[in-house]
Amino acid sequence: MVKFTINQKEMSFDGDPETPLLWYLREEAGLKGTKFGCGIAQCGACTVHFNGRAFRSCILPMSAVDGADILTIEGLADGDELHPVQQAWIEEDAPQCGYCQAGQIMATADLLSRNPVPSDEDIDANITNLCRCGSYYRIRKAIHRAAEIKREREA
Amino acid sequence: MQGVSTAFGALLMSRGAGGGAVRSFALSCCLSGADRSRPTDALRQKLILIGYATFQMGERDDMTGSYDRRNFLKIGMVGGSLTATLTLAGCGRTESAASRSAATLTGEQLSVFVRINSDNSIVIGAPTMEMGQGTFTSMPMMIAEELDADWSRTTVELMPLGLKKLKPGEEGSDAAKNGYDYAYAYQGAGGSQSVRRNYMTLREAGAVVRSRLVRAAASRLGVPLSALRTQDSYVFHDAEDRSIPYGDLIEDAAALSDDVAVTLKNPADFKIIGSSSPIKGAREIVTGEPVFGIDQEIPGMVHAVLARCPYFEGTPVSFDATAARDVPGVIDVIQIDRKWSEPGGDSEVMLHGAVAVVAESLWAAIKGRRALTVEWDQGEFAEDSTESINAKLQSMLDNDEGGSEVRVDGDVTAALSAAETVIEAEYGFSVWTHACMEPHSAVADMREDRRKVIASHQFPERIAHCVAEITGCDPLDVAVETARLGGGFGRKFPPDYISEAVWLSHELKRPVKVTWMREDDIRHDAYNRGGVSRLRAGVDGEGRITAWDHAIGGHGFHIHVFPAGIVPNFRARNYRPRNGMWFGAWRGPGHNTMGFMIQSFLDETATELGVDPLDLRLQMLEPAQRIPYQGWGAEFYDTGRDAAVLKLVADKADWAGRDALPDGYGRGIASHFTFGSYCAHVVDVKVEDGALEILRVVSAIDCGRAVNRLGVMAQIEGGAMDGISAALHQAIHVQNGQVVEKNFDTYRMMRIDEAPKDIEVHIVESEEHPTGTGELSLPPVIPALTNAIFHATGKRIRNLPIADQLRA
Repeated sequence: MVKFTINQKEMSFDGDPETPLLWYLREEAGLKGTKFGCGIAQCGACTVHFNGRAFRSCILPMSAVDGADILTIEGLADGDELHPVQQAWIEEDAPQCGYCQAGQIMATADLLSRNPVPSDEDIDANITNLCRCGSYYRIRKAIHRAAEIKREREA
Repeated sequence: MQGVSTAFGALLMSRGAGGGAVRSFALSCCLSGADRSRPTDALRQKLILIGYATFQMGERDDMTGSYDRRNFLKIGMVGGSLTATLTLAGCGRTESAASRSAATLTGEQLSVFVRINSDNSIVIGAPTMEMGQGTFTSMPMMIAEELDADWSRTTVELMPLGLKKLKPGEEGSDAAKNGYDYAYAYQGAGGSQSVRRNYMTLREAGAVVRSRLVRAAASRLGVPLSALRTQDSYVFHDAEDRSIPYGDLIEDAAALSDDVAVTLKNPADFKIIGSSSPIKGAREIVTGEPVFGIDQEIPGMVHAVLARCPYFEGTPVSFDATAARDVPGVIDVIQIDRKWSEPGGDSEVMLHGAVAVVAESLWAAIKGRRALTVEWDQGEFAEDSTESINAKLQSMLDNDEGGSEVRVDGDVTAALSAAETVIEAEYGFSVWTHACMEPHSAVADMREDRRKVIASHQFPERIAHCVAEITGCDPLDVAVETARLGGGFGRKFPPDYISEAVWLSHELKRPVKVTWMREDDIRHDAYNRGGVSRLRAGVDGEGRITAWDHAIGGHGFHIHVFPAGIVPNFRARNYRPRNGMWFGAWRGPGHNTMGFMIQSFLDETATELGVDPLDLRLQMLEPAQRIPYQGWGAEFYDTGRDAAVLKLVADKADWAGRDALPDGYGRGIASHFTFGSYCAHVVDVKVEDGALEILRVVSAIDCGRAVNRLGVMAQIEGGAMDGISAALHQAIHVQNGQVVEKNFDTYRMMRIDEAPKDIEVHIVESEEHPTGTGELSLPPVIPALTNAIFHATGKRIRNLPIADQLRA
């Protein structure tokens, strides 16, 4: 029996310990916001926060989740108040098809928690999620905007 | 102003000679229930027939002479909300067909277009699905404009598929098949056609609903119509400073008839069309709502993961499922023999040769498939490799063997002989895979009383035909729900992944969800054709291009683009050797690589002649001519509009300052005409020690009247990024009859670090009929990039991908 929290809710799992966290989230916990893209931690669509840090859930077996705190895109907002990154994504009109954006947002939320004013170089080095629609230009703007919103809210 | 009558049978205008396909429609209004109106069967039977309309789509806003119409309005009462639905006309659904489908479908099959709630909020149905192209926002904007809706309080829902049976002799759309066609609107999405096809239809829908609301208000206030105006979902009577929200008028409006003229707005009065709207549905995306196809479920479903034959056109011979069946949760292991049809052919069933592992959970199905051993019939292409395919192509070109002349204008041979200068070059490009971020999936329930499919797909009617073919049912009895697509790019056009879910559900008599792994996607794609082309240009003593000869190997469609119709002696020959790969539409199909070859070769020609690449283009395009377009997706190619986007982008990007750039910096230009719209880019690069940095993309586009400027800009930005990504790294290789690349570790796509940080999009202000933007930006961006690289380094990129060519 593996015990952990998802979005601050206590959960347990006693199924196949090899089950990737991604499939547990999507298929058992009913949290479809975390997306499947490649299964080999290349594209970042499945990014969640694992003990506070961005992690690609498609390669994380449930056996490794014991005692962990997991945050998914569904738990990022504070009730009705969107997280600054979510808010910035809407303001900058970043999504096109939208499929990769949950992962992009989770990766960015982690980056901003460690680096409140990321430079373009910081973004290049830390945000490695794939987007085929080509929304990178607006994603970059949205990351900078998110940092601003965060500062405004904290001020 | 454009007068449009809704009087019964009133023939307002005769059909014009121009314009596109005949598009007929009917409009129905019903007062319907609660928050999510789902008219019951009984209530649907109360719908009252009032009239019908026929409509021929014009190519311009100015619709004079472009259509005749009579309107067809139905009204029903459920209470709570006013719901108007618009249908393609001649609707053709017999009573029995309608009631049969009503028995198996929810009321939502009655495709909601506009729903006005009593709290004055408005819901608009988007007829085509969203895959990132922005139509979920832009198409409802057209309705909202004529309705004078408060756009900020308008939400959008996706319409389910509406199909009808065509009457004998009735003309259908180009999606019509086996006597069936869309019932309500053109619901397919491809070829950048959604906005172009639906623009007038959707505006009319808004105008008719608005007309009812204004008349209801006039009657209640006892004032003439001319004393009223509408704005932001209110009717205003300014003389007495009164206003009524639409939501208070819905019952009165529903009781009215439509025997009055309706006038479409003068475009000068547009407030919503031509504005910049963020996408609708953004909050659902950023909060992780389950809106995509892969998120959908049907209660009681089982999961299937398939081992598809890795060899082109191969099929299973035998398999050992012992280990697979030992995986807890695995229910069954089933062989699927290959059954194939070309897209657009007679059949909509496409089954890869495969073995399906069916399990209670997706993870069990994945593990079961991994444990499976399959012996494959390797088919006739087991020896294929990238080298063998290219060698065959080169041999065909060398020996002028197996080609066909696709277009011949004038006498190319004579013109080349007479030319002062002949320039020749060979261009090649790799095979690309779609790699939509959302891997394919479909969930199907083929139990006889259900017949339901939920999936992400670009042409939902094909799903209905696929079900009909596999199960023997009537396509009208299939409930097709399209979910948001995590990218389409043409891959969600063929119904292969749909066929698998439908076939398995039909076989197992229970709901089945098929999910593709990324490896399945990359190895079983409808790839973008790779190939080799040889180009020759003949130039006379005055520097004019008099001959253009294009031998297209492995590719060869959308060949009627620039400079066809401009260079007097033009020849395009097509050589397409058969190999085992499956090819399909990939964002800007044909155009995506034709743009690269033509616009790069033109740049080479300018260099050879010692003229500015922009000047050479303008010399060819001016004076402006409107050339009948022989390709698909447009009727005319206006060289003046092409020249205009080039001049605009040159101005905005400081083309004139190109020669003053420091060493290692380059600036390139290119334009292309794609499916009715015009786009030119200027790309700036820096190349240092073989390392390429793309500094800036400046774009100018002409898509007629821009409906949603912010959405248009997103398409241009995204298309540029997508094209650059393809050009930089993307390549599929073949070895031993199989695709080598399997996932994103070997199929390299651009990440944010390589993406240009600076993109500017300039939209030409235009009164022309709106045309598409989804595929517009990609074809010219690749040559603008490679031309910039040439300018920076003197190295001409003649083969894609660029990869490490600059380091050599």
